[in-house]
Amino acid sequence: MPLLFLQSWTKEFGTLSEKTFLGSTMALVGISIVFIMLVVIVFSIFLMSSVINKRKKKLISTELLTGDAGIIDETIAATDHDDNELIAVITAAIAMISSSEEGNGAPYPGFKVRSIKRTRFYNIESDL
Amino acid sequence: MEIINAFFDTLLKLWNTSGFMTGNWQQFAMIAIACLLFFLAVVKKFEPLLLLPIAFGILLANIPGANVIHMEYFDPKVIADLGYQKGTLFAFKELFANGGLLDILYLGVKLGIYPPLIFLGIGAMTDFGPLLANPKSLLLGAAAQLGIFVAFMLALLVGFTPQEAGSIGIIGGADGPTAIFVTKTLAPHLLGPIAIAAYSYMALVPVIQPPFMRLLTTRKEREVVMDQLREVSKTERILFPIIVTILVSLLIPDATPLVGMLMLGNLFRESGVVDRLTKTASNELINIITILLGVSVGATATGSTFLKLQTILIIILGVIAFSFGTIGGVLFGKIMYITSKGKVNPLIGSAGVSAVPMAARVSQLEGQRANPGNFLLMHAMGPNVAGVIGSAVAAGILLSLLK
Repeated sequence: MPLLFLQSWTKEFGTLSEKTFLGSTMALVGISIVFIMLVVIVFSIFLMSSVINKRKKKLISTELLTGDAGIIDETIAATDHDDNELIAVITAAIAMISSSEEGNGAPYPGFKVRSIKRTRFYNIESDL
Repeated sequence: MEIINAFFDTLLKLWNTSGFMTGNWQQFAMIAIACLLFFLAVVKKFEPLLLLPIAFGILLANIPGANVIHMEYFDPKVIADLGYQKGTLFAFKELFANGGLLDILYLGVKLGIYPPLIFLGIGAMTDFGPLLANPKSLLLGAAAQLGIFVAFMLALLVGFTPQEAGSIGIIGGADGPTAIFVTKTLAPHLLGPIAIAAYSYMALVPVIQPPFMRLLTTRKEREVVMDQLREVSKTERILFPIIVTILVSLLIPDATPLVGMLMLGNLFRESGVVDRLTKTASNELINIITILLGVSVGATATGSTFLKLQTILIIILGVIAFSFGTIGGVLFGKIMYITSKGKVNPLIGSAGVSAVPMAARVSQLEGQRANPGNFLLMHAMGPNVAGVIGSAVAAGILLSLLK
């Protein structure tokens, strides 16, 4: 019965074997081209990343050797905020938690926040 | 007495000329389908952003006597009969003389304007960072395109022409604008059913994918916790859209409108120098185009074109395409699991079917179901956005082979 159904549908556009051949050839060619295309992009990304990261490492090592203190993380450089206020808030928060853990209410004296480092988070909210 | 008779005569005439009397069963069936889509969009929240305007377009196009859209002006046979040159896309004189709002809006679909503009907005919203951090995940986006070609083959076997089969297959790309872009070129008469199938299945990703994901993976594989992704520099982010546009456009020119606009939107975002353009592309522009696209695509689904056996076949082939896309992605994920000696969780493979970010969320949920401490979302976003590029490339291939 399903074969009859298929045959009635395929009458108009050639035989079933012709269609199977055309379909499978197209499918194979199509998926292969998609893979080749994306493999080319993968290699391009690897190449681009390695060139950029190599240059970045070279730059950092040169600046370290010359004692240049101006090595600034790209992500930190992008934000032009005064971090002192943030450091004070973080210090206060840690001090409060530490003192409450100790239970005597006195500030915990054993640390000092010298710097903070921002990390970049990916935006996952893109929507089709 | 005469006044009463005249009153009832007028009422009778009004009734006889109303849509209730002039409409046929197909139009009423389509109005019922539009109401079902309203229910799915509003109550079930199935892709409401597009399903709602599509449903309203169906409703408007099927109101008896309203004649809000004239699809005959876009029919190649009618265009030839009217004496236009071969290859003319629409009967422009008649369209501008007699056409209504929806005819004019439909030009954006017919001329292939809306889908690339939607891609511009998607590009402005998409973060390719996870993909750049783990470029191998692009291969999962390629493997998940398997559904497109399996559905193409099956569509061919059940009697569709190669052009129609290509348009049906692209449903497996899980990307509405791409499906519309391919269909408007290869099989414009199937635009309504294919667009509705594509968007409905995108909404059903959380229902369709999990059974295949569980079936094809072991618990041990699903429990794999992947390493944290590396940080991606701004330079890489800026160069990526430019490189992809050059590579893809040179190798597959037919994919240029989609990939080019996707990458332009992304370059807006990553360059950081055109904030106003990024905001416009990712908000106002994409929202306006979504309304125009949804209503005009919905309006193509008239009773005479939609209520056919081939619509049922398209819906069945659509689910097969989605399923094989998921299977392809998960199986390739398993290969990566083996080659990486257990460092890759194969569940992220299913996210390669595009449908951003729903498919990535499904990977995250399934991963957490196996191991509550597992966070796969960022890892799945890589194949997920790779799926957008993969489906655009597949669309370009279908167009170049079948046009």
